[in-house]
Amino acid sequence: MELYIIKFILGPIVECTVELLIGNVYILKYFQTFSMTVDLREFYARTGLRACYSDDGKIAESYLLSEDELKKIEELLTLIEKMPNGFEMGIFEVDGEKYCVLKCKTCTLVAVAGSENFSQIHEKVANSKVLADGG
Amino acid sequence: MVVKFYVVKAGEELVFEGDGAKEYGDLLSEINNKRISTSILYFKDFALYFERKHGVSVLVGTERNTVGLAKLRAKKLIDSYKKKLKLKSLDDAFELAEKVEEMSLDEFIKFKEGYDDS
Repeated sequence: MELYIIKFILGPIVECTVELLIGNVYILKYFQTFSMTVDLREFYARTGLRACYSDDGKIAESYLLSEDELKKIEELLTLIEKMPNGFEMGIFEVDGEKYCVLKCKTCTLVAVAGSENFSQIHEKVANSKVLADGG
Repeated sequence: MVVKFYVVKAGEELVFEGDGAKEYGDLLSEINNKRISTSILYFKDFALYFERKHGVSVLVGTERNTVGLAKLRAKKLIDSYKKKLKLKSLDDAFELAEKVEEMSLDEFIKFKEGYDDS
């Protein structure tokens, strides 16, 4: 509740940073326990985000994604392979649609987030306990 | 310092500022090759904010919890590096008008991308 008051008074600058701060803490927490076996249906039920995960740069399993989206995701995966060490998470906007990428040691989870705010995506993914439970 | 470093690419000119900025020149051009317009990248102990607009692309490095401020900085950088039309006299304006008149549609779109919002 207090957060919303701060947001309301101080406007967009604080809105962004405060929400990202909270998102970060949660995502880190869940990220460490994120295992290979993500149930994509469960992820969709809790977050409303369609997603897929990949092994070695290729899409291993997807849920409710169109071919066009899969092509874009493959393009993104080639980019993610070239990232410097220590990459954990990224949100990309491609042609007006946002893609959220979570990376762990063995696989990469990509969720399609439509045209929502960066901070909203953060919140959703952070609050999905799918990642904590490991499916 | 909230913003640790930044890399700006305006046209073919590359500008590096801050410690370790040069390491990310390659990454900027990699992202630039894709159709990505904005992105936030989280690394273990820092974050990067990327934005492309008005023909200028910017990569700003910051702490993980101050990405919002990096976004504002990136917008300011884009404003200062984007191409601006300099029309000092009426003659300049007419010259530009003649140029535009002779352009084909493809040429006009390329010309427009450098200056316009799209």
